[in-house]
Amino acid sequence: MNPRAAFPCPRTDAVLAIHLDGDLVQDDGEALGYGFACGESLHEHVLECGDCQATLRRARRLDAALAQGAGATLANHPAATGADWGTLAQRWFAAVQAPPPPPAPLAADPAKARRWPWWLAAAATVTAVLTVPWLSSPKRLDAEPGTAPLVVASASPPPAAPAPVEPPPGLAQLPASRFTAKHLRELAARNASAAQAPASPQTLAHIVADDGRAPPDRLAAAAGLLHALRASQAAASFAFPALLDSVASLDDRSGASAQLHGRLLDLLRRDAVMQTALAEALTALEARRTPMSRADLAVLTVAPRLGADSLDQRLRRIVRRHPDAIDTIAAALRCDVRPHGGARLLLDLWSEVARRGPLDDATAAARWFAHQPAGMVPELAAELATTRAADRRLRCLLALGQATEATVVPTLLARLRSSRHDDAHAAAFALSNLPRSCLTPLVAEAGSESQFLLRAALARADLPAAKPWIDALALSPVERQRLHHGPLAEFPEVAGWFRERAANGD
Amino acid sequence: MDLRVSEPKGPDAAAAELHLLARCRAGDEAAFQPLLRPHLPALLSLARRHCRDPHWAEDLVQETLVRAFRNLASFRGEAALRTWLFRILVRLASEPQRWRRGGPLESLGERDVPDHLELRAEHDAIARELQDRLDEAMERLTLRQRTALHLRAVEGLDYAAIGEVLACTAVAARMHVLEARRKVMARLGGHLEP
Repeated sequence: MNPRAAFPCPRTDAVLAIHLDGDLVQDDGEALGYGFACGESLHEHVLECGDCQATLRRARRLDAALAQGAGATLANHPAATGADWGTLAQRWFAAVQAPPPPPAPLAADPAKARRWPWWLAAAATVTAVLTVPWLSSPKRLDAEPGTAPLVVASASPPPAAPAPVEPPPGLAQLPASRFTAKHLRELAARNASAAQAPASPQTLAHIVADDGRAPPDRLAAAAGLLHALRASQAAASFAFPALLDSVASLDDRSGASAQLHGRLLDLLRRDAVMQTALAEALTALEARRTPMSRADLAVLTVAPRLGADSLDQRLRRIVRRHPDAIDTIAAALRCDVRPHGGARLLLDLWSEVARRGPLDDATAAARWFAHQPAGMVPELAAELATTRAADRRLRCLLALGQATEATVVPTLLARLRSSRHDDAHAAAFALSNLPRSCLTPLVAEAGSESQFLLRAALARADLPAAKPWIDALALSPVERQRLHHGPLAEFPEVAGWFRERAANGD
Repeated sequence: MDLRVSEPKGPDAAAAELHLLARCRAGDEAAFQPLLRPHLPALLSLARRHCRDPHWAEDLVQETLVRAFRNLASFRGEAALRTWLFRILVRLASEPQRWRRGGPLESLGERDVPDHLELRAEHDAIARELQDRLDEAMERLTLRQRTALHLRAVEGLDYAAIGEVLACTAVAARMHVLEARRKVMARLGGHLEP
């Protein structure tokens, strides 16, 4: 629809401005370009003009809908409801009041490091020249955030705490800079005296990793490191690996530790700059030809725990080139901090590795899915129910066999009775890997000889109740070895013994 | 915290804000949080108008607060604090390389709409569809038009204040608001009829 057609009457603009927005008073009409629209005559016009009345009505409804929509958006904002809103505000203020960008000129290239002072001196000089006349202008309402001298002051190389900070001479005379200098001096002094006030990325990283510290301190230190990512390239070059290393070192052995770990990851997850930096680090890892360093392993550990689709895609590409990386990722996922999607990611990575060459699926399942969080079980079951790819179904079944909860038994039993032979054998094989406590209740169900596949599974698990069935087969020592320790590829033949030999015995 | 989008400010609240502002200028960091807290919902609301992804919107607000904290000394109080904060946020939002606006819009035609609806459900569905179309229409505005209309309709700012946020004159702000209304109403068509 043509936007012009929305306002058919030429006076509608004035009608909306006066009757809806109310910002135009008659005396100002001319100054604002509505001199022709005398308030009284416009009022009469509205009473007579059906188009203006309709447009005014629709515009009122539009404004109401916008206000209502904004309110609903806030009310439904993920982290802004109830108690979470307080948490969100706390996180914001923690980031705001985190220490200013730390120093650490860590440029690997000394030539680059030498260039810093030149750049900064130039920036400070140019800004001082530009801002002095501007600040003294009487017409200025308020300092523009993007050009205020404070920004320049804070963008200059941050002082090495606890040394007092002096702004560049050109800015020292400005009120804003006086505030900055005073503020930074106070901050530096506090950093020197109070151990809990971090001064550098190194200190912040230590605080994040320090189990003896209170969680709020550690969170604030992490927020400070995130802040440093935005400060300068030099600060970011240290803060990024330091933060990742600290977070990667955390575990979930206790409830408090897991909670802190989750909140730290949440902090990382919500930080746009960190997400971008992680994506770039993963892209660099993809092209890496040298052995991975500790920093690389930290990237590989933290990225899968965040649960971001874009990062998962990059992890897939890395595994495509470096199949061994899947071991690190699987180990990272054993920490139960990823909200969801861990099973899907591992299955995707498994597919990538399988494309490179022959792979023993049962071994792979044990290697990557053993000791994974219980939350993966429903994910695997859902994946099993929806996927149409036979190899993915088989991997889901084998992965379920690595669980330690009895909740997987009904899923595996249902598949064991599937008309698809591959699925049925894989389900029986997976069942045989479950803990005995999960399998014992199935003995009664395997009483009938028609349940030969279930019997084979229980026999493979070496359940005491299965001993009579095994004895009835009169297996040789080699066959017994194959029954208990044979690979998945041989399991259909082993299961066949329970069907054929038992029938022959009868 | 109260989640109202616009919080009317009485004389007491204005005086309290001035007092907190003075404390902040004197270097009292503890005053910063109570000073800015009342403005967080409005900031988040405007950020959500610019970032479809709620996490990006939260980051945008956070960065706005960081900038405000750094630049508070340069705020002279001649404009309203909230206007000044909006100005910072809009400036940040205009940096597309930093603040992505999120994924593409879901086409309305792709949504599942039940065939049979109860009266209440039907009302809700109509309201939801209006909001969806409204969001879509707002997405298609320029950043200035979108900001101007949001500030006018949701925050109730006058043209002069909108001009301060957008760094333009009141006349230009009025033109942004009217042009935005014109485009959105054209796109919504009959959906705005009662």
